[in-house]
Parts: sequence; structure tokens; C-alpha cells
Amino acid sequence: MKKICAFLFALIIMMSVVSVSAANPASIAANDNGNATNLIVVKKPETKNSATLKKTYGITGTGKNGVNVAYYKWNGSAYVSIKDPSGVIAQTKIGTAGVFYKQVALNEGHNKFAVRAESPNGTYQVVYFDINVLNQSILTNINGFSNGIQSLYNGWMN
Amino acid sequence: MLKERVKTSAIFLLIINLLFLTVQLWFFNSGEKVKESFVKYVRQIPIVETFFPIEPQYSISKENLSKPRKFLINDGSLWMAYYNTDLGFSPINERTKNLITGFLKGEITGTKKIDDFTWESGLESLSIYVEYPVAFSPEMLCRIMGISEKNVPKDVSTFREFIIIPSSDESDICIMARDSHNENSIYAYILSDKYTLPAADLSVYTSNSNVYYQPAFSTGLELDEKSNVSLAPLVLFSDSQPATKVLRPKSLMNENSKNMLLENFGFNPDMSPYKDSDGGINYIANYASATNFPDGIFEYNAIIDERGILLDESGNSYNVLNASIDFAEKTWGCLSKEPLSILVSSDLSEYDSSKSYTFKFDYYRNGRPIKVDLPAQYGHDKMNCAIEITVKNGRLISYRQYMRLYESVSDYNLSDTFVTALDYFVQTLGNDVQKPVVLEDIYIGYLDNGAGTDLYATWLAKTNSGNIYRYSSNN
Repeated sequence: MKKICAFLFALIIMMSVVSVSAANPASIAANDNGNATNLIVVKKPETKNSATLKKTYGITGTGKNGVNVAYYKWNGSAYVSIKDPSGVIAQTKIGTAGVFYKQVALNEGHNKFAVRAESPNGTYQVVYFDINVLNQSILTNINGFSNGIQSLYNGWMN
Repeated sequence: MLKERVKTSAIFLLIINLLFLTVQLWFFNSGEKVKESFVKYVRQIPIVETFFPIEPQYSISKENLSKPRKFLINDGSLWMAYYNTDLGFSPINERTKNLITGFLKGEITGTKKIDDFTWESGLESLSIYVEYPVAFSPEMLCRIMGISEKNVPKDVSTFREFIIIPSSDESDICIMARDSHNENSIYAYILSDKYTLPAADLSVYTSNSNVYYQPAFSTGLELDEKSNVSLAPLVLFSDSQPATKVLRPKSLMNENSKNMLLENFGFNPDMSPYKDSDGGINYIANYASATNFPDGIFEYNAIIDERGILLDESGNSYNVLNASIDFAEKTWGCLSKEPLSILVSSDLSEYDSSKSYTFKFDYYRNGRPIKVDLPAQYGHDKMNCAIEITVKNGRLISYRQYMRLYESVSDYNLSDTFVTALDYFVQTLGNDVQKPVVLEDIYIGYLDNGAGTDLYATWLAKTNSGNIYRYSSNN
């Protein structure tokens, strides 16, 4: 009886490890769109193609409780999973708040990302987007934005 | 002849002094001044003080009053936050302090009431957001910054948040101030052109940190409406799981420290206390009582307000606050040789309107706040701060302190992320509370509930009702 219990316990442990590692693969093909469309909504970036001056970007979104979300970056031939500092695939399970958040480092130019969400029943969804990091010379235009704010108070001089 | 005159004069002065001290002892107080050393007493006489000014002593607690709690810098390419414990906090504090001081001095050339949209546009623009730990009245903030309150702008009744928009070729620095007691009252001021903050300087400050934060309003995220919980716009998202310390609370009360403590509160340490059925040790004198509770709280209460310990006679809250911090440090000195590290946790929005003030302070250690949360016990109310001091007409009428020293015993890396903690708070508060809850801040700190076990830094959430909740991974 003890042996059976130990075997079942070991089996459960193995299954759980397999299920976590199988939740999201190490890489995904560029044309894999998944078999679901309603698991997550990416909020930032808001569009499939966006531009920014930021060197670090927060990918955000909402989704269903229990869905596993992993993040991938294009390496020229495939989308490869982003790993956390310990070398494990960076993935999070959406909880009660219904949100996910991941900071990613950006290089100047185009940065292609994919977010893969997998539900406990095995359906999955992949969302692709491209974040274009603009050249620093564009920063002068940002000053223009700042001046826009300042223009709100131009002419107030008492 | 001259020798005789000197002798007579000396005897005359001694008799006058004796009479004066006797009158003080018999008629004006219970003798706490007389108990001080004679030299110290004489040096407190205003005229003497003029010639022999008392050297100001460095006080971490007073120093911290003028420090903001956090900065949020938007340099155009990223947002970066600095809490007052972070490396890199000081340079930006020095820079912004100069600008805020200029504003408080009234060195402005324009003023305009603005709306919430403009305030948020300021955050989206190149800017530095400055948040103080509590709300200050304009006068109080001036005094804390060490300047005269004469010209401080009074459009806003309490200051806690500022946004500083840097200067450019076309415009001077703009400082936006939001009234923490009236969210619709937001004003923008143009600072005199003698102050500059080029936009390019912002990236100098952001390059000092490798921890990235993002304010909630910029994430596009909204929590599920069904959860009844929402996020304040300036809650900071982060991926970081920083290294922290494990703290061990240590009781400070022993026979020697107890005697010094009693003397500090004007009690005779040789007096016989009585112990109540719940373990509280009570000391009763003519005009005051003190209790040392078994859970670590020491409480003093003046039985007659007019007989409380004299702290300050000026009547303004800044002096009363300083005297209260001095007294807290003196009290702490009875128990520990370590400096007292406390941070004010109650608003300082009253200045002259009332002569009764209650100040609350939290301990902090290794740069992180320790929130105390002790339930009410027989003999004392719930305690949600480290020190609570009530002063009326310059006299200490109530003093409560959770007497604990926190020793760092080991290193510890936070194991859970901001989003994990957010899930926990949404689940916990969404279930427990009937009315909508706003999470006003989520940050890393300690919570001591008096269990006596080691404290691990964790995520804490402050709600719009002022309550603090602790993240627990055991949920």
C-alpha cells in the first residue's frame, strides 16, 4: 500500500512538472496563431505596430484567471522564450486580478514579440506585436511634447 | 572690602536662585525642571540661551521629515521611481528640494488653477513627480524646509504631491501642486527664472537605477469591475524582487531601562507598581499614570492635562513636533544606544488652528517601513503605529510606544512579484469588503503584529480607508 501511495505521489509530482514545462514551449513558429482568441487581451502595446522611446517596456494585458502567459522575442528565425534571471521560461499565471505584466528590454529599431497564453484545458492563443524604438535624436520631439504642457501655462504671467 | 562685596553678592544670588527654584518646585510643576541638572536648566533661560545657544543635534527622525517618500521621473524614454531608501535618491532630492523651497518662498511668476487632465498630462510629459509621506500644511512644510512661511502660496491647503516640469528655452520650470484634502484643487505655478532644470538632466537621474517602475495609469490595465477593487493611478508596477533583510524584534525592557524610562516620564523609579490580572504593570503618580503592557506597549497618560510634561510653550505645531521628536528620542535613549529611526505617519496639516496635536510615527529599518498592527488589549486601544504622542498646550498628555528594536539577522530575496501580490489583495479585499476599495499604494515593507517572530519584508497595500494589508503567500 505504501509503495502504491509513493508511486502515485511521484507520478503526481512528475505530471505537475511536465504540465508546467509543457504549458508554454521554449520557442514558437512565426505563423502559430493558436486555437483560441479569447484568453487574453494585450493592453500595452495598444496596437500591433507601435513606436516608443523607452528602453524598457512594460507589456501588459488582461485575461482569464488560471491562464498561463509566456513571453517570446524574435531572434531572426523564431520567437524564443524570454527567460527570467534563473534561466527558466518567464511565464506567469493570471490570478484574481485578471492582469499580467512583464518588463522587457528593448533594442533600438524593431523589437518583435509574441505573448502566448495557454488555458488549463490546453487551448492557447498567441498575440504578436512589434515595438519600434525610435532613435534618440527623436527625443527633441519629446521636448516638443513637454513644451506642449508648458504652453498650457504660457501667458499666465501675473 | 571688594572681597566682602563679592561674597555678599554671591550669597545674594544663591538665595535668589534658591527662592526661585523653590517657587518653581512648589507652585508651577512637579519638579521635572528642577530635577534636570542646574547647568542645563540655567541654559534654558532665554537670555542665557542667547549667549550660549544649544548646539542642534543631528536627528535622523527630523532629517527625514523633509524627505519625500518617492520620486517618479519621466525622462521621455522611461519612468523611474526612487523611494527614499534607494541608492540614487539623494542627488535628486537635493535638486528638487531647491526647487520646492523656491516655490515655498513664493518665488513664482504665474499661477493657474488646473484640472485633473492637465495634472495627468504633466505625469505623461518629461517631469518629476514628488510625493511626501504625509500631507503638510503650507506653513508646516516651510518650517520643515527651514524657510519662512511668509510668502508661501496658499491656494492649496495641504501639500503632499508635486509635479515638476523642467525648464526649456521657451519656458521656465512649472510646479504643479495638488491639495491632498481636496483632489479637485490643483494649481500650477511658474517658478522664477533663477531656477533651472533642463530636461536633459532628467535622464541623468534615471540612469542611476536599474529598477524600472511603471505607474498604473500608463499600463492600460483596469481591474475586473466585479472585484470591487481598483488601483490608484500612481500605484507603481514593477518586476523587481529586491534583496531585503529578515528582522528580529527584540524587547528592550529590563530593570535598568525601566528605571530610566520611569524617570524620563517624571516617576520615581523606586515606587511600587501594581500588576493587573492581564500582566500590565501600572505606575500611578499624583498627576500621571504609566503602564508597561505585556505585549510591549508602554503607555503614559497625564491625569490632569495641565500637569502633563512640558515640551514646548510656543503654541505652533512645528515646535511642538520637534519637541515631541526630541522627547521620543530621549525616551528611546533610555532603552537603546542605537539611533531612533522613525518616520512620521500622520498628516501634519494643522498649524495654528488647534493647540492639541497627535503625532504618529512608524519605525523603519534598512530603509523600509515597519507597520505596527497590534490589536486592542485589556487596558489599551489598538495600536497601528510605533509611537503615538498627544500634546496639548505644549504639554505631553499621552504617549504610547511599541518598545521594540529590530535586528537584521539574515538576507532574504522577495519571492513574489508585484502582480502576485496584487492578485492576493484583490482576492482578499474583494471578498471581505462590501464597498469599493481603492488600492492607493503597494510597496515593500514589514508588518509587526506582535507575534514576536522574525519579520520578512513583503508587499503591503494601503487602501483609501488608510488600512494596511499584508501580502501572504500562504493564501
